Amino acid sequence: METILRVENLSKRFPGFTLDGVGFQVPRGTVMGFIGRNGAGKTTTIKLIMNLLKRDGGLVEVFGLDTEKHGAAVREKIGFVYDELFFYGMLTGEQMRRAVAPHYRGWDEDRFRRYALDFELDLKKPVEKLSKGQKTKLSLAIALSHGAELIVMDEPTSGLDPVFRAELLDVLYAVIQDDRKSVFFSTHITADLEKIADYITFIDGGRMVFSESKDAVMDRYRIVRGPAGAMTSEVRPLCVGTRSTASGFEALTERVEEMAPIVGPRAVVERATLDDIMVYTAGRQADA
Amino acid sequence: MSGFSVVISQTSQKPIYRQIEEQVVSLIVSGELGEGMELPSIRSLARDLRISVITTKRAYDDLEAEGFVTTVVGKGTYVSVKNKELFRERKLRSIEDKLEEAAEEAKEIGMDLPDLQAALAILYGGKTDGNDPEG
Amino acid sequence: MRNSISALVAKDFFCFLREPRMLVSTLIMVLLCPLLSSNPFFVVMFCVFPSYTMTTLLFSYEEKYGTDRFFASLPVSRTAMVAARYGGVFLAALAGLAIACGSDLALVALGSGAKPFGDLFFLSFTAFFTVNVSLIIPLYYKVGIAKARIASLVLMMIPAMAGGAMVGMDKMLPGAAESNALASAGALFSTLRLPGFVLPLVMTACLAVLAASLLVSARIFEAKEL
Repeated sequence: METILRVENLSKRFPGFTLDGVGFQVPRGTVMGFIGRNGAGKTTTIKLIMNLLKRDGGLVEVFGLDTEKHGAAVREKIGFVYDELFFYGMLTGEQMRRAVAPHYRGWDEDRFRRYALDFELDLKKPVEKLSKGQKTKLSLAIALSHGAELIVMDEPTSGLDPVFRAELLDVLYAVIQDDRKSVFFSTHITADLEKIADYITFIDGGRMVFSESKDAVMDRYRIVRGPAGAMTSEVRPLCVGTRSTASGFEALTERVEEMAPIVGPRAVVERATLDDIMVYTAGRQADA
Repeated sequence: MSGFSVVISQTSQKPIYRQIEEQVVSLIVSGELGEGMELPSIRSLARDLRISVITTKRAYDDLEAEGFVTTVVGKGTYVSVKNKELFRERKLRSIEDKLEEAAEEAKEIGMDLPDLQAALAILYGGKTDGNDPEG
Repeated sequence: MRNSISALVAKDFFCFLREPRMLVSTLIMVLLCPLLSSNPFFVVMFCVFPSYTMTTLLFSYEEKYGTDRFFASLPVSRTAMVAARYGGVFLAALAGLAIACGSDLALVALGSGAKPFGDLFFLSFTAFFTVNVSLIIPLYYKVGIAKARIASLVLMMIPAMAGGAMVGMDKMLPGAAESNALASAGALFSTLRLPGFVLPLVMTACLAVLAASLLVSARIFEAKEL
């Protein structure tokens, strides 16, 4: 399968934060979810992909082209949605379109109109007066109207209600009906990704935790809950992380087959959510 | 695609691709999905079930490997018939094994054949042609 | 690339022209110009005023709304963005020049005693614009609007004031021209006629300086973290 986005050994140093050794690949026609806590380095990574920041080391290639050497060519085929609308607030959606359209060779005016209609956008309103959801939809309408093959989104649903998130998911599902398009989106709201994502890349404290197929991740981890006494020194190393209270323990493990017989029949085993994986793994990274 | 209906559980321990595979196979065996019928594309199925494309693709790949469907590149995925027989064959063998086991256990506790048959009839769904043992 | 630059210039002008400030500054220029047309320095300053206002406005919008991040995400090179800024500013100054000339010629035609602008005026305009823009725009890119804006104002006002003083002195002390070097310079400035090659030479030099400034700004902006 062709790789749309390739990141290898990406590093970037800031005074208070370092991104190091980040690498993953997004094949064509797939959705990759990029998860991590706030401040883990998701936005930094996306900025490095979009060439808003210069990398200190490593490789970023989109469509096989280096993003620093062929920035403009690469960005022709990237649709972006950031967590804020970085555009003149006093201008309207219509004026935004007019400012943007000439820069994209593949601009499709009809498609933009259709999205504006579907999203019920008021293109005559100054964009600073739009709600956050409307702003995101405006960005999305533009991102999807120039023949982009890679859609990059940075926290598109943060601060937005479940209804909006469901609508966004519908839009993304429609987008990926075209098997040439890929989506890369960062979020700390993992519920959406559990549905649509083909791959998950998890970043914490500027470092990679894993980058794998979502099914593999979800199949590997389990949540085990049991009586407090069952969390022994024999059991603890089998867990990624544990949480113990007076009424019992909860643990995330990749080794449930080994754990289950030891903790006994009173233990409850469930599939872990991405949230669970993120919480328990991130906590552990902090200790390590 | 009138026979196609797959319902998945997000909370079940069974992986979703397994759930899809098993349901599609039983639809084929029961005849609701007839030979040559087209399955939804992997992408539209992912959208309808709100799961990922890689999951539906895996389910279809497994089904193809097991010999229940065929994917024609650029066209779609279709039920391919001859393997229905293969499946029935396999299923019959598995049923035989289970019946053998039940028969052994019945003998162990001294259950006689008519009682065993009656029990099977109840479990199967009450088609006892007149003889209702429990009234 | 050309398409992108013209689109960016159009966008810049659109943002600028819908601002009431622009209208006000143009009115000031049109109204005050004839009154000060005897002093080429003030006129020069006012001609450059639209480009000063435009630059300040656009750079402050960029900082307020973070639009750099947006446009740098489009298939536009950072150099194109810088070139568009220079181009737009240059056009704004030309527009100012055109308005001032038009107003001046109208007054001459009305026989109000105003003089048509001479070589010296265009020379001053070119030099003044070049020095101003070449120094200020890289500064805007390097240190941001808060610091650059003050420098920009100072850079625009000081030569204008100095020139005005020179011309003013000449007027106030009619005999001073012979005895005072500064006053005589002022007097010279008002009446000097230049040899034919000077203006094209100066203009070429100014273009070179502007080009160099553009390259410096582009380099700064290419490296900027957005």
